[in-house]
Amino acid sequence: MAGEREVPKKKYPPEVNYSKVLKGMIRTSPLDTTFHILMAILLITGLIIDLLGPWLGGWFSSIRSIAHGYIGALFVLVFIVYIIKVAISKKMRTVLTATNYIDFLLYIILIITGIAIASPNKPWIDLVPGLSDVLSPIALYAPMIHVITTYVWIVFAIIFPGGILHGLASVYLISHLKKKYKTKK
Amino acid sequence: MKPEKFIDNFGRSEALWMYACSRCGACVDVCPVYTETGDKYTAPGFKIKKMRGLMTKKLMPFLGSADAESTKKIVKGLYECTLCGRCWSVCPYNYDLVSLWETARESAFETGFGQDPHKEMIEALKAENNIFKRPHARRRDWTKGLDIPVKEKADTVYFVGCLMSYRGQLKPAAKAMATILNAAGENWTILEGEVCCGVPMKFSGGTSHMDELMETNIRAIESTGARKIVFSCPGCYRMFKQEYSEVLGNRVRMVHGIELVDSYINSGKIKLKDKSGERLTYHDPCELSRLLGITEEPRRVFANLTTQFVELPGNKFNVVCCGGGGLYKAIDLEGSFGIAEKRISQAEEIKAKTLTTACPSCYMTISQTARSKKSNVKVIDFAEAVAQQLE
Repeated sequence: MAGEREVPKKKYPPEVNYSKVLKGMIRTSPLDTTFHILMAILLITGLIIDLLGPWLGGWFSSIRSIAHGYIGALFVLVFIVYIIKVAISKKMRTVLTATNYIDFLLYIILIITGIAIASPNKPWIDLVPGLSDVLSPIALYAPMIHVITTYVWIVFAIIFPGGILHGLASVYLISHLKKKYKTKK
Repeated sequence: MKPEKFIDNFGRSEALWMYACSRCGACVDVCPVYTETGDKYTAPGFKIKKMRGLMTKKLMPFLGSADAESTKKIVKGLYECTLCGRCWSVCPYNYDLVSLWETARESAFETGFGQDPHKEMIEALKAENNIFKRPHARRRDWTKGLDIPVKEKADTVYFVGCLMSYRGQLKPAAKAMATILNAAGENWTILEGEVCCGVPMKFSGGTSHMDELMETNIRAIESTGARKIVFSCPGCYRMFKQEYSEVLGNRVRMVHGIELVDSYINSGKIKLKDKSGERLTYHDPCELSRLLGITEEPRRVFANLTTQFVELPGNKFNVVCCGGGGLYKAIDLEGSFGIAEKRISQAEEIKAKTLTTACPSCYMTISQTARSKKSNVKVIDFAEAVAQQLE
């Protein structure tokens, strides 16, 4: 049978906690796990930068450039592989909704603007002649577009429902179902 | 039909789980029905996607409302499922999908989306307390000419089940179970007033008459004063463990026949002849192995029966359904036999001479398919295999 794989024995009715979910995600797809973890970090650090920026003091730079910037760069690479996986995986296309594809479109906007924000000051930009000239004008509007797109995505992905509601529902359920879980009775 | 009401039966946890679904698609490829039919409405993840859509429309009416046609397609997909739990086994979230499918079917049935074959089954249950609409008075016909006790008081009750009681092909299996119980010197009885356990109602979603059936069985069991109930059917067994145990509590121990045989062999209550050299394999019933965790007991039993026990690919916890579970056969006979055919082919590939199982539904599905496929693999119930080896 296509896609069949050996899985460790689980107990029915199921038990749900963060450790089991994390192990399950890694077992199912390390790529998915990395994608989701990086996405969560980027969202949290992005909100910290935007909402708590004035109060961060010395922490601001490290959160912005290391936690958000470099992890963002890693996310770009993982996202490219993830999108390729979606394109070639029939099972993923079967379960993904139109909202998820709009989510991806918004990620692409966030990625482009994120690169535009981060790149002009980086030394490697000079390795590609003319790239600095292209990115500099974009960089002027990029922060605004980056922030607005993030909030548009948050609202959109809650209402329709996309990645954000998926994340919130997951966190709520796993947090409230530390003991044996059964949907009925 | 009220499509907008279809998901009303869902509680907060069902709704949240559907939103939490990671959309990884792991459940899609492992579904035996989807693999067989290729119909995306049978793919677990796709059904969740569609039901989530209905839930969203209910929460946010400005997005539109559910229409009868699309709801029908979703419901059809819900019933084209063997409830084998393979989707659950690979779900990274450990999401209790079997319960979700059962809840969704209940909701579908209540809102008028129940399937005709299932409705007929429920009518039969209401009229004759069995799914075949055979006279209730003939439930014990299989015992004629056999040494089957019907006592007022006994230590052990053998809950025979509808399939074993009414299906002629399963008579040797029921007879073999009785032989084993007699050989072990068990003070046992079958129930005079046994009726269907109610699991077909639970699977169909039409649960309105289920309590009456359960009450009848509980009264009959309690009147015998039995401390142990033995089952041949994993469906009845799981139904008792899930639904009856709340009433019966710890007073009554529930065991499947194969667990009991394992304990008999361990304790020396039954003596077996020397092991045969027959190449024998075992198909794990999904409910018994994946959903109830009984995987080692059958292997211990077969290790005492033959020197040549061989494993089917996809076994124990990872068993692939035979196609006969969850009332799927009543909805799509061709699809069900298509799945079973793969199982028979796998048994042929490992050169098994005999295929055993511990479930009357698996037995029926696999043996019917083996006959139509003109396979050389002999299909028998585990109890027959054990009874043949009794000293």
